Amino acid sequence: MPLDLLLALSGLVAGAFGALLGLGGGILMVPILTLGFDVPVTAAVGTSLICVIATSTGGAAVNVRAGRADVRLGILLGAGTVVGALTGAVVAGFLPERILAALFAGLLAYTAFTMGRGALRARSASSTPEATMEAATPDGPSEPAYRFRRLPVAIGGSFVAGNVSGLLGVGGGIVTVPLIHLVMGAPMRIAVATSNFMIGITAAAGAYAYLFRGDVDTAIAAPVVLGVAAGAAIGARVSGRIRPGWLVALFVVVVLYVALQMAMRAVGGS
Amino acid sequence: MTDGRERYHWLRDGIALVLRIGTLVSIGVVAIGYLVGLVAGPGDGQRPLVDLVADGGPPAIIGAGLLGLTLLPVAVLTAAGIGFARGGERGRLLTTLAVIGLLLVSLVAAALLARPG
Repeated sequence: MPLDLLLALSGLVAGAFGALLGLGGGILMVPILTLGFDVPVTAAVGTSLICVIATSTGGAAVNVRAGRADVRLGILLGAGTVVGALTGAVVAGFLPERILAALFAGLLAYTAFTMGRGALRARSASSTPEATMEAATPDGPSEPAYRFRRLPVAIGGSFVAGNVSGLLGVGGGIVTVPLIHLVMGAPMRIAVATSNFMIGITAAAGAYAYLFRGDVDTAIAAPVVLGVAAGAAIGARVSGRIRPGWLVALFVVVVLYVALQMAMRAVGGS
Repeated sequence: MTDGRERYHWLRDGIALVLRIGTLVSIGVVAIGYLVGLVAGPGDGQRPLVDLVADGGPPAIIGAGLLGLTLLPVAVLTAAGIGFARGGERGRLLTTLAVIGLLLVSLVAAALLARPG
């Protein structure tokens, strides 16, 4: 029972964190399960993917209704991430893990640098959102209007995000959030909510294999998923009250932490 | 513009409803399985899904809930597809159908490849 409580608490933290940042929480769940609870890596990844879906659905139910998640954009980019995830899962078998880890660490470091710089510039400049608002965009009175930029680049990027997800077993939000925010020009809060909506679709493509193969232990998955679902709902409700600058800062810290982990994995090769 | 906004509201509310109900039901089933497991014992829960469901017990209930959770994105996309079809957004409908198709292919492939023998 204490073990179950610890698992549920871990899920709660990962779910809240994931919903706040548009990530699936897999970045936290895999190390927590493997290092903290001695769960085999494959079981941890399978459980983590289901947690990503729970984070996504629990958070998206709130975000979609509140008009923070752009459903049309999420599905459009979701097509790229699903194809990328399936391709990545195949390619993963042919590439050395050290190379993957090194590439990922470089990508994350660049992302953290770019987002951090963008946030600092935004603080010094006055906010001048573009005026046009399409029917597809969230239309809450508190949300700034925006217009998408560079859609073809973003679709290509979403394929890469899915590929990274399939290759490295993460939700892909770590790539899709900066993609929507930096490349497409959407506000951070909308990027986070839309990414949160997308990652469930991406993770589902990979989760079926783990579930059907028996890589998910229901005794572990049940308390974790229950905790994640509760955490995601809490995180999604709280996210509307948190200043975007704080979200960016938190995101940059997480990305740098994961980049460091990946770099160590690349050097160590384990 | 107003018509577009109304369609967006319909799409948004429909998807939110599917997400809300689907999450509640899936998580509810997992919770029931977990509570039954506390009383009757958790059982061996690390087996292929087909075996779990065939053997019954708490792992089967939890497995069904987890499967429902993984199928929720398909349900959400279906709801979105209905919304796009109603709104005459053919391009977005085709994109949605393509994503649903890809997810179903990965589901069927996983089920077939996981079969013993």
